[in-house]
Amino acid sequence: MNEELDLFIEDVDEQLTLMEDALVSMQENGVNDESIGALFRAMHTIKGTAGMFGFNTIVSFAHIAENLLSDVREGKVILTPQMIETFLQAKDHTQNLTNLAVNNEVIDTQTQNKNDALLEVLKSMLPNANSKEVVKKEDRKMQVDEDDGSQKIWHISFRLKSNFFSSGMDIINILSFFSMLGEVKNTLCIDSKVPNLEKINPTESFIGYEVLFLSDSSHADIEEIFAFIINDVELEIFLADDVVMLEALCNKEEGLKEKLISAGFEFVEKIQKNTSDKEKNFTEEAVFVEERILTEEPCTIQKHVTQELPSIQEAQGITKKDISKNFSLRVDSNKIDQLINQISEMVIANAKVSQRADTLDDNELSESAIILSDMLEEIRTSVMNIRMVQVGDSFNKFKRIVNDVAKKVSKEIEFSIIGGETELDKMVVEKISDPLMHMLRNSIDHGIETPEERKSLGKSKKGNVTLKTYPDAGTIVIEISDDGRGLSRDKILAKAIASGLVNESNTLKDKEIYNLIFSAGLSTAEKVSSISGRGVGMDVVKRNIEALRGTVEIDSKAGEGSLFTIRLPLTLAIIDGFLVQSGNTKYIIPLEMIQECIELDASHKKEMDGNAYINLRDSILPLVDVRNYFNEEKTKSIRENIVVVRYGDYKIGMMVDELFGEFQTVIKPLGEVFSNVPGISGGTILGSGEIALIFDIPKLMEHKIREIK
Amino acid sequence: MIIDKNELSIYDVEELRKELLTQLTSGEIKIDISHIEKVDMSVIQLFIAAKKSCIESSILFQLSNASEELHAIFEHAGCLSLLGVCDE
Repeated sequence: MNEELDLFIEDVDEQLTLMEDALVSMQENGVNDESIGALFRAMHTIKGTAGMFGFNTIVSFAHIAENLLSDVREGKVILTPQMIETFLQAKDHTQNLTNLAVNNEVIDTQTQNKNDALLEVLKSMLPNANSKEVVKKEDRKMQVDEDDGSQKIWHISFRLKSNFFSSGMDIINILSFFSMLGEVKNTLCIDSKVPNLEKINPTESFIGYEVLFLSDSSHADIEEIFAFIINDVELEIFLADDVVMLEALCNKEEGLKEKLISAGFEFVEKIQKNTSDKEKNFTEEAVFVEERILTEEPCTIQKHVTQELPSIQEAQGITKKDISKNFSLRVDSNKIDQLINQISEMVIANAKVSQRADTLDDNELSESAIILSDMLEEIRTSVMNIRMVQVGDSFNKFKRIVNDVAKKVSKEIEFSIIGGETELDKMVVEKISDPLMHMLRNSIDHGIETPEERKSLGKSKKGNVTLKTYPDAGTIVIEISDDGRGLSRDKILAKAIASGLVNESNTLKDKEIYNLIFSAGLSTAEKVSSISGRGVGMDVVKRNIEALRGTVEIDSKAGEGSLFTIRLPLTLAIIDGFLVQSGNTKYIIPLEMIQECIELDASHKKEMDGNAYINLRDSILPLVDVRNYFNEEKTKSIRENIVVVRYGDYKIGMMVDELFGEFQTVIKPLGEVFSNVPGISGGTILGSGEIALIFDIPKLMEHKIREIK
Repeated sequence: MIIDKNELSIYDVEELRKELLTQLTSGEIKIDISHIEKVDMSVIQLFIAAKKSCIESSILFQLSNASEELHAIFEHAGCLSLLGVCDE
């Protein structure tokens, strides 16, 4: 699949998401102009881009949907809930057609039937289906403002830039696409710059086009056809009878006027006549002016010329869109990953320089290394920011899923998204999407009661499901909560005992029992539905979250609801770390989890009295002695330190020997052999070439909490 | 010269140019394009370049037996008469 096709897929995905958001928003909040506009633009863009790739089935389908949306936009048709439902189906169908088209697959009978049925429904919603059909070519007359006054003849002039072919786009597809938006009256291929066979570099482009196009499309609509190649062509679009523009165009290229006339571009003939008349007038005027110069007003000619010039420039100003204005750029995420990897290597290399400067006691070098380190940190932050997206953009799609699932299981749901503006790495957002979808489905299918049940329990008929996101201590927290029946502690435990996951004499706490639902093969649903309840999901959910270096926890109260809390790291590649040493090994603690560092002095040791905790400002702080935990050798370190870390609601103190300070940490995986070392999530290379191990604080806490219990 | 490919694109133009240059030195360029169903603009541009060379050397340039699909492509590209496609 080429790069352009990838961009097409991304573009269609984006437009379909916008479409779905608009539809769901109207389902929830009622019809509004803004959403209708968004809906229309999405369908219109899909039609345009699909046309550029020659995906005619998508174009034909989108064309009818767009026609209906155009009528809705103009107030000719009222958007009903049934219509919204149809457009939601149209959105799914367009996605399906796109998948088939990009994979070069033939449209199967089922899809074709769906296509025909949806087209029928959409057409039936048009106020007068026949009047909205594309006007047949033979019925079209070469005139401006035909019928309803919206048909115009456009002159489209474009030259392919020399590197056009490397864009991967075929201009023929674009030329073909014009005939779907209107009627191409004339196509003139400009080949004057094409060298002969001996001289041509066949991978360079020398071709240009002049096109006369009859359509009700606007300037912007036509320009959009060129959206993917706007930087690879020199483009002019203007109304065919715009004499000023035509003249300017003909003056730019020698012999163009004659070519256009002989090809039957009739408006050019008019300017020919116009010019002759003007020249005649101008000569007459000039003679008249010359006579006056000799007598009284020497500035008249100058005035005449300056009056002519701005009108041409203004006209060009309207048609030539400034393409250097702010624009967004789609970049393959692999390229950003590569950039992050390269920055990571630079960070390591700079750490070596820093180390060397210290060894040599070279202050100048040391200072330069510090400056470079600061600059690298800035670059790193900027690059990381490129990957950050607001979670709300992605989470909005859940609204539809919640609606669909609720309908299927006959439940009424009030779904809220809180903190949609929270930013998270795009890759993490994408990977967390499936687990979230699964958990939401579970909440609705099993958590929320039916309206009747809720009523009998004194609850509101509508169940509440909330997806909340917020940053906390260097992590992003995603909570899914519902006010349903809550998890059944006894059922989970019974099932776990029956399937041998735990034994009967267990002393598990409620929270631990709830967390058993993340074990493979454990489902307490009495009825297996198409939505959930097969027990093959929650274990996968947990695995997917852990693969993102995240954690998931459950809390539940019978009759009141459940709360799933997911914690995810902000970034996956480089973190700000704090370098410490214990025994002979250096370790990294994620800086954002650190609350404070304190010295483990004699009074603390006395307090401890052999126990693994201290009293920190009147609260108990459990301690993890890193040296003991990882069987490090004893060192002769004079000072012992406690680094207090927080994760979620928990705090622990990490007992270490040495504190070195902040360190930009490039996370390197430890490989399969060390992948299951508890409490270690990865490694990093220090400036000296030594390896430092990165603590997995959540895992260490989990271990400590279990130990305490 | 018969081109036996179904599809010609930017990836084929270097090779095609060499073949056309060989044809040019033989005194005429006559190409049977009946097998071709799809070409992109780089190929059309190469045909235009070949025709220019033929005109300069006053020799024959002929593309013959265009398939329906190719005919439509030439039409969309506004090159049907420019290339002088004919049926043999």
